[in-house]
Amino acid sequence: MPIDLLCVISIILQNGTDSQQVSEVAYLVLVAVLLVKAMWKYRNLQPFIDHNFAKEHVTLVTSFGFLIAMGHVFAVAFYLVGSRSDNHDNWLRFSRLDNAEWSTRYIFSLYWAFTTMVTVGYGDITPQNKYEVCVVIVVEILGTSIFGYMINIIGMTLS
Amino acid sequence: MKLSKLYFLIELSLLLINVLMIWFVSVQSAFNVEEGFSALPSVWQTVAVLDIFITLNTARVLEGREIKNRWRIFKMYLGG
Repeated sequence: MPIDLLCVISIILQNGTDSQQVSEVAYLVLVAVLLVKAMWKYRNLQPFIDHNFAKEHVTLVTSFGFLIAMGHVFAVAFYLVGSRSDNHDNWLRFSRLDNAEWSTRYIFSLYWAFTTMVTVGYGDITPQNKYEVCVVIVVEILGTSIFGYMINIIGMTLS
Repeated sequence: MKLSKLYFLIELSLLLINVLMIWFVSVQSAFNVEEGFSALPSVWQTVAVLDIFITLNTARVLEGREIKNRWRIFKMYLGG
């Protein structure tokens, strides 16, 4: 119940202020609280899942879920760095996406994240400043590790 | 720990709604979405109320004897 209370407070904070900084903190708190709550829910369900489903299938599904979640996190991180860059050299402007609607920007960010994670890297969306390069380095290290782990999980499940 | 199928489905739905909420909130905050997500607080409040109701409806047994639980306390509060 305190978690629900925190959620409601953060929503009120988010709606009740015009200050962008406070709003961003509220969003961050809300995401953190929701994450804890989702993990708590999963923990409650785990005995039932373990009893009714094969362990390999559960591992496979949760690993895919984790891969998609990390893709989303990387996409948001890359977009935020691009959109908050003060200079005009950012990947959004380079790809002519700076005036596109949010769904287009989100899909392209997600596309970049997954092509980088699975080591395809078409090269059509590339970092344009040093901040974006830093994000790309982190995403490449973490993303390829996660993808390698996923391949290992699939191999173990099939065998 | 044994869970009924109905309880499992409700808990699973709540978990999925939670995950969707995380997605909604992160996309809305990062991509400055103005339209489409206006129902977000009301959806979350409904889910929170449902979640609290389910959490209250728990029975615990201590050494074979039912102890006073939150649901019973809630009923006493309502005068039942």
